[in-house]
Amino acid sequence: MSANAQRTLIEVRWHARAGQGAKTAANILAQAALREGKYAQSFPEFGPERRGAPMQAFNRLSDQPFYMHSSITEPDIVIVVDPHLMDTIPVTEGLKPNGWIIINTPLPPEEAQERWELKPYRVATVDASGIARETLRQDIPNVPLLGAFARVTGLISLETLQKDTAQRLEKRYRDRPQVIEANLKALERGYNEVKWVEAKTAELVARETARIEAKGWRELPIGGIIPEPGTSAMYRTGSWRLERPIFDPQKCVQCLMCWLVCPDAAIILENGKVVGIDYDHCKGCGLCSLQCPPKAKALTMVLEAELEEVKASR
Amino acid sequence: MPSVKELAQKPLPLVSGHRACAGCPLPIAARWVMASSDKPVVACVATGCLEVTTTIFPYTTWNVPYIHVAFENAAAVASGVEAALRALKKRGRYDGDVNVIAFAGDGGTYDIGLQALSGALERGHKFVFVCLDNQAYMNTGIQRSGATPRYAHTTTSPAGDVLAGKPQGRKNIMEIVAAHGIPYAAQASPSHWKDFLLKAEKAFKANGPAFLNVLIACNLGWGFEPIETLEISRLAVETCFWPLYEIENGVYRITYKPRHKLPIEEFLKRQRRFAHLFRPENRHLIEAIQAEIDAQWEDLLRKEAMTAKKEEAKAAAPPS
Repeated sequence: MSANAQRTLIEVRWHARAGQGAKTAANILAQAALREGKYAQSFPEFGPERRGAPMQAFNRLSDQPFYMHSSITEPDIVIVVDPHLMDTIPVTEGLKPNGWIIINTPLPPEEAQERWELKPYRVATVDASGIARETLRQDIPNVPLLGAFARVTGLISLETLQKDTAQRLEKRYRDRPQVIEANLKALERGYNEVKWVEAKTAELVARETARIEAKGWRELPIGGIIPEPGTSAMYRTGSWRLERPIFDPQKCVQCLMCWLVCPDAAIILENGKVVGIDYDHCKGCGLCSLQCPPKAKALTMVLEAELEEVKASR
Repeated sequence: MPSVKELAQKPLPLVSGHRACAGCPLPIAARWVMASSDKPVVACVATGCLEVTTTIFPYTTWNVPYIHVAFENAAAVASGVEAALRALKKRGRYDGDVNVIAFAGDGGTYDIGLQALSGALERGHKFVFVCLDNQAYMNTGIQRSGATPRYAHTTTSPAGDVLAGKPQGRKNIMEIVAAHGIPYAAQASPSHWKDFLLKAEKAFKANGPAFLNVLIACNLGWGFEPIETLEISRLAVETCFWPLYEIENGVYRITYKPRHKLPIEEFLKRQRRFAHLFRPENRHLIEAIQAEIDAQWEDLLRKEAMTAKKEEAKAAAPPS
């Protein structure tokens, strides 16, 4: 492959939660690229976990044919569909210096670059969830994000994306043209409302000159051995949560039904009594609140999003 | 049966941090089974949701000795563990006492693991086989299995213009297992926890192989919200879609009879896998499902009455 051909290959990595539509968005992007005469790939990568768990989707876009099929470890562009992932997943891992990171957040790009330490990268932000809620009446941020992608990267035109989105939805929403209309609106708003900043040059230079000190093979620990039982407790599944149970110790009658049915062992017991919820592991399924005796009602579910609003207003 | 307060004193056999979907009853069921054991346990787990969600390297959710085995051979490996422990005991090299459990999904029980299960039951190993039945291959993307009920939509029996979901009914695994003449087989649901814990306790006390068929309502594959898990499981029982019963030494006993048997619609309408049945052209299929369930329930009631009589006659007869 010539150096020129290598340069035209653009690799995109999407970070989302399973169920947020990143796979579909990557698919639309690849279709649109094909329509513009490019070579394109799109594929998702799920863990064994499902709904709510972090997942990735990938795109390769090029003017030349290419033969790679591996997952992408050094992307040119990273798209973050769920801003909560910024704090839990190393989304910039392998991202090329001066690469784009497009985040679904109402924060201005300067603030995002500062807050998540994204100085070596070009940062674009768009309130895709807000746009989706207004146009689609649902939190499906992938469509506005595609619009933002088209604007900041210039790799694909808005018209092609519009055509492709309309075509994709036509079959399913034949009798509901307003759904297609709303999606096109969301796409356009994403395109128009995205804001971005350049990478900070000093940081960029520092990043490019930094060398990774690799360990020799003798210094590495032996792989494949799990020396202790029950180690998964170190892995935090609390970020999957959309709703959280709030525990009121005054109302609790200590029947332990919540403890019995919690799939994630996230009900904290002390001396055989319920004392609280382990939010590092609670996935917010709500089984505990349903099992709590109606007379006691010591557990109530609250939307995480609303919780943040409550916190912010204080 | 230990009380919930007593259970809460025991160390957790399965800890937190596993990657099962929010609201999935798999970890609950596995925890309840293991907590019901009066002895330490060894778990042999076939490939399936329980395995992949609890053993992602470098972590393990298990707090008990655990062996991951292939889809086919959970029962064969459990047999091996049981036989090895017996052999070691005989030679005086081991003096502990443990219960051996095999966990498998419906794929690892009804379909791929059936041969190994049959062999282990026939050889009469003392172990408990737990089928965690979510009624399709959920871990690989909701493909139909021998446990998928009639007219359910799966990715390999898609409901559309040609098919109305899976055309075939599901295997009666309880009858298949009971036909081996094992001392104990029971069907349980996490929605009825007392019944569940009693059955698990009985399974461990059985003098030979025991089988538990546990309903695992899958919010992903069946299509409902995570919070509805236990309600859907309860509806499965209340509509007699999933009767709670046990077969103890050939004697059938229905452990829970719904006072008012609910129409099957109540169960079907809450799940997207059956959504196509509510289109006008498919309504008659719901009636067909109702007829099938009624027949199976009648059959079960008959078997209970019949074997109870046999049992009475045996008790009345003088010992030979």
